[in-house]
Amino acid sequence: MTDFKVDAAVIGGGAAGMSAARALADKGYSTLIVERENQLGGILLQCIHNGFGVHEFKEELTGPEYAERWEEMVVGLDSSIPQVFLDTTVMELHYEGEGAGYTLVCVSPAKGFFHILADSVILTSGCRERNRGNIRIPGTRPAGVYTAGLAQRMVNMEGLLPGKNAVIVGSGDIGLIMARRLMWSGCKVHAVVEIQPYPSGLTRNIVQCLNDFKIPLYLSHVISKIHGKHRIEAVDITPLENGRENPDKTFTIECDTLLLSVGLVPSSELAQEAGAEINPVTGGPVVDGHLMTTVPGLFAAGNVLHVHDLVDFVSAEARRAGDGAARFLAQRRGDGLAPSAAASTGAGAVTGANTAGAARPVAAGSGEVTGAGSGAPPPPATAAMTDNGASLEVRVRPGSNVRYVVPGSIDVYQPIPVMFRPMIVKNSAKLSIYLDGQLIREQKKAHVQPSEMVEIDTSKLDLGKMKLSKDSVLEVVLL
Amino acid sequence: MSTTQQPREMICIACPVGCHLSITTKGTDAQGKVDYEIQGNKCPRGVVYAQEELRSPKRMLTTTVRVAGKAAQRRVPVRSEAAVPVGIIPELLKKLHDIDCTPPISRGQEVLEFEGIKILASHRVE
Repeated sequence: MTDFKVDAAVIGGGAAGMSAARALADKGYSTLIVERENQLGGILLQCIHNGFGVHEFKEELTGPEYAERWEEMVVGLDSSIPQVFLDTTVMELHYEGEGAGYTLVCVSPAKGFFHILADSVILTSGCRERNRGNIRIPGTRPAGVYTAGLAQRMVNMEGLLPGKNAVIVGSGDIGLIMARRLMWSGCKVHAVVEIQPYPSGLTRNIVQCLNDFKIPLYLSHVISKIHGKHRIEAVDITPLENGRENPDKTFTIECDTLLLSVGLVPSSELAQEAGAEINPVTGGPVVDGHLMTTVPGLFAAGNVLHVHDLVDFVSAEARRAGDGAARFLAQRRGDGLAPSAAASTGAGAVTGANTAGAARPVAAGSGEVTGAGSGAPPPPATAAMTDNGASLEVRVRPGSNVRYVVPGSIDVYQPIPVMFRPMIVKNSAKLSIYLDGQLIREQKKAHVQPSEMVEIDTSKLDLGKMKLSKDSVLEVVLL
Repeated sequence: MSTTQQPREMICIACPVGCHLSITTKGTDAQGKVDYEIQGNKCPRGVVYAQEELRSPKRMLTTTVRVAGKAAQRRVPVRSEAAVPVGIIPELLKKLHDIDCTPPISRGQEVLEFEGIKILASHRVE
């Protein structure tokens, strides 16, 4: 059995994995992407519609274009190319303890069963769809009930049409986009059924994917029964009145296909296996201000961390995770722990960085700072490590009308954006940020809704100038 | 067209606020262009959106085209170079679903031109 040893292993070669790997390789660390499919790109490859890349590339691309552009940036450059193992599945992820790094147990048709040893791991394994079991639709169990993403893969990649007459459950963007896709592919969509009183998807998609095709959207309705023995034949649709089904108003729509677009959950099993704490609200691992999980050296970004609605946010977040991992690796080297052979390849990226290191506030000895590395020789600073490893983490907590915040804390010296998901639909909302109960920033939001994640630029909070203790908490409130 | 007809409803998608627009026809102007009265917009972009949507609605078209031969990838994703008039979409789709495309195909390669509209591959196929 062959073993591979790298500085950083990236699990998953989608939008997040490619971006994290690029960030790490740019700083001179030997980086390996492990991807289970036979090409890089992940879910982008089946998202053939446009609207990707407005932030990253300043133009509207389709999913495959976005993926291929990123692929060229990852594997197409001359220097410090991240290695890519395709067709490779990570079966197990073991944390070997402080200083010993990680073992990835992998299989692939070409290499068989093998291990990858890595000092740091970035988990970018995406998410999966909730299914019929998750939403408990009563009735028989015939063929023809698909998750929307599976149907998307069938239509867009395999060239298979799931049926001729469909009903879609859930008005999330995947369901809406599949409604248009099916109409354009010769499958009539008869209804979209949404349990909430408001649509979950973007208005743009309601207009262009439903209204353009005159597909009715039933808000505050549920599928109350599935009919059919071998193949689905019809569904019962029942309105909710005051939160309860009113069976007297149930009606039936005949269909041979039911698509479920009822939410996504992070595929965070490997993080759990390695011992990382999971946030019960997001389903992804708890991370600090450098996107590191509660296991040292294990980072997470993209949909495995929390489900995103914009791929541009995924790429940006994963870049921060890559930077976080690079910082972790630099600190380990500074502490004289297991420098790997690849360290020399990074030499080009670190020249002159020592002067940059001096520019940062060195807070060691203040008693409020963790991980300052006091007593250790000055680390061979990389461009990413301009703070001599000093960090002061301030917890971030969701307040009123905020479902969750990610990350769960930020580093005052290197604040990264905090993302949160609103629990309300509102025009002209007010976003307030409190530090230990004191209002420190207020911001107007023209429109908020649960399907649109909001990003807070925490560098504008000037936390470095505030009075902080290690028990300080930032609270995000939406009113 | 009479001015007494029912106002047409429309949701503006210029931004996520999604203003509900109400549109009535005021008649035709000197050049014979239909003149609309647009209400309910919170900003000027609503008027621009509604007029474009009423006079010449356009959409980006994305679909897939069959890959000829026995390539592992059976469909190649394609897109229109720019937004196309809504009316031409059914015909374009029919053409795209009737052709096949022989690999190697590169991203940006033209797979069909129809009435001046270019359809390009979104991803390579080796």
